[in-house]
Amino acid sequence: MIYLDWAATAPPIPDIHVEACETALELFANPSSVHGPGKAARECIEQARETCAGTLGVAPSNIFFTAGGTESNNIVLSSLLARKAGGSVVLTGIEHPSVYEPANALKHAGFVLRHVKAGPGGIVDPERFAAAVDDTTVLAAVMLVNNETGAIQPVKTISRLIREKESLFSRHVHVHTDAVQAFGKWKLRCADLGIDSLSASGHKLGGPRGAGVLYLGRPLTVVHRGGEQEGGVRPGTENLQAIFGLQRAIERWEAEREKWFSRARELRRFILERVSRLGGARLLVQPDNGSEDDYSPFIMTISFPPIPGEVLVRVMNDRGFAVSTGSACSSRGKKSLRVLTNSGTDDAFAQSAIRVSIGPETKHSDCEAFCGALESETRLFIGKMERR
Amino acid sequence: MFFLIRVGEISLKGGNRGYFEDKLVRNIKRRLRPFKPKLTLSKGRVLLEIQDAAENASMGVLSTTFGIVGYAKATVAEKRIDDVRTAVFHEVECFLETRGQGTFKIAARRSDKSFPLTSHEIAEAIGDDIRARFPEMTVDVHHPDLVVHVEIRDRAYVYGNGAGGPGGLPVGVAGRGILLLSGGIDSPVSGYLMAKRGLAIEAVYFHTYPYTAEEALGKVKTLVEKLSGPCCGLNLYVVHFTEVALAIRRGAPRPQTTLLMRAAMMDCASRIGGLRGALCLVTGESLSQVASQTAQSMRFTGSTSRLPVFRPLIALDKEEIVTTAKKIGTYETSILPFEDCCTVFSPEKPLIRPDFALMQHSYAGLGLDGPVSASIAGMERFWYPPA
Repeated sequence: MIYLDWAATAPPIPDIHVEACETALELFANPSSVHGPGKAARECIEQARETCAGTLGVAPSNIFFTAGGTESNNIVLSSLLARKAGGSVVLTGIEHPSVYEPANALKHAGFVLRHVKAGPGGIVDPERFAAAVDDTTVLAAVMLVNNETGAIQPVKTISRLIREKESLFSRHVHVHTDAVQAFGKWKLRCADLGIDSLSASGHKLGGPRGAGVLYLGRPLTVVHRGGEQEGGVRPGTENLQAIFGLQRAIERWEAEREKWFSRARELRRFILERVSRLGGARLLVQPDNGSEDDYSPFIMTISFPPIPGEVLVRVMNDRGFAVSTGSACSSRGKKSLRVLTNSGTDDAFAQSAIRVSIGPETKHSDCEAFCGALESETRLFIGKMERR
Repeated sequence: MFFLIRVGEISLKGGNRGYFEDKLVRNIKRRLRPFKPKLTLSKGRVLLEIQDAAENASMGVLSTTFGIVGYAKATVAEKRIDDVRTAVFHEVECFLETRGQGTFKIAARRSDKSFPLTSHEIAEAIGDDIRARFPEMTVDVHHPDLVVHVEIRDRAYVYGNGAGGPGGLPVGVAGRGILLLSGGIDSPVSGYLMAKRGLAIEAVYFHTYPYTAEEALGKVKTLVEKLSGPCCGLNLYVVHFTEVALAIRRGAPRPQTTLLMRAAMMDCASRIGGLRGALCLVTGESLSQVASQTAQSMRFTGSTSRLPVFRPLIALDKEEIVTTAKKIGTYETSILPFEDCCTVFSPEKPLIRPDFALMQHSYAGLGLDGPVSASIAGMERFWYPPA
């Protein structure tokens, strides 16, 4: 099976998992314990915190470990529930469900939601987004790299525009970014992005599941109680094994980033060019329109109307290729069309879209084989449609 | 414990009545086999004797076994008025446990004329005793809350209001039929209604993986499981139909594909029917519901079947079908979002009034005999015992 679903989860990096497992066996004590073994475990977690802080250019005291990206996003969104007064929340219509759904739940608590769609190509217009922010806005959420389209969102410009606006109504707007698909892969600087919080996850980098990161530039009121771990932001005994693995995965990416990045770009270019020549294929953006820097080299969306995306996923699975429709977290529901229809695509495109996502282990021959299989599997249906 | 079972339409049968009754008894026995039931037939009634632990299971079975119009938990007593009275009091006490007070009447029947009291005298004597012992009960012979039946036969049988059964005829008395089952709302209802008229059902599902999901097959299996009780057990044949569908998609004009696919399914199902000794096909078609269900379309799609095609929903509105689907418990499964037909096989503009001769010519020209035979050779069988 050729794995082309890295955006859902990256295949585990074997030596990191082994080392993480051994470390967890050795440092089994509760990091909150004051005895020697407890302190050793604490030391391990603090080292991981320093690595995460370093990769984001922030102080370790601003980094909090969670169970994953979904939990990190939920902590930020649910913190609004502790507010006495409501307000408005502005978010893009292409957010991951772990931002979109908790935001929807805020409606029941009296918050007003404003969704800003992305333009053609799946990129949000910063001016349009900032225009939706007003003196009632308490939180703005813009993801950094979209998990379905790979479109990189102009977070930096958006926060700058919001900062300009907030000086007019003399109150701070919390700007949050879901950076799950960007963390580790880009050299990120939170101060440069102008954000107040950022969420990330370890398993997208090849680390173990169960470790996420939440950067908080300013304190939040946390709804969950019951422990002082992670400064009370995420109560509960820390998952040392996953946190250690996350640290190692970040280190690996930092060391290999340039090489992996440029190879992914070449593969993306190759896939998109091959696919664009197939009859009936539709792409979110043409490969030659000079927009390469606007998209993650690791994620592509392609569509073969009228073949439903879920059918193409099954067909390709039987041919030995693992791809997915939209977000793997919700690819079984029709809600998964939301991101694509809010990315300037029509329904036919969205219904038929599949996501191809690659990673450091993806080979050129894998992509070649994939394109060949795609061509032979779609030919029957696309050919008929054209003759009609 | 005992249940007295009333039959409906069976009692109107003449010379064949014994056959219908035997079938009913056999069906109840099959469904309650783990509880070792004893069933006896007597003067249009079926008496079920079963272990106490099987009370709920028995009620579940009796309320869903075709051929039964009603049943009640009964007390079987010796033919002595004191024993009968005790049994009647027990019925009244059970009633008062849930209702607290109410009206009643005694419906007495004496087929053993050697019993010292007449029917009227039984009702009078016991009615007086109830009024004396249970002041919260008053007599109402027209619209009573509780009717206590007393039947003096070989023994005395006493039972209360009881519950209704589904009616119809025992499954199997009308032979065997092949149900073309999709994962939708209509076909399970259709199978249920034909089983109600005594048809033993075998279901056929046409699976076009990977163009339809495995979950669609899972949905069909759940539907068959739900039908297995009323149908007294049934086989599900899963026909892997992808090659047939692709052959049609490759060789046929786009607008004809849906009808040709339906025709191939009828052809295939009728061949399976031949192998299984079936007398008919059953579909969930309803006139004009979709393009393939117009009179012209069905004339063609039905023409490839070597067996008559029964369409019990033909004159029903969708709402009526949905109501029945909800009643029989298949609706919630049917609306799960796993399509049984992929849009790649559906034309954008399907034919509504196809030309019969042209369609027959198209079908013959596709040379589907081989793929259809191969799909039958490779079909899988799943047995769903009567639950």
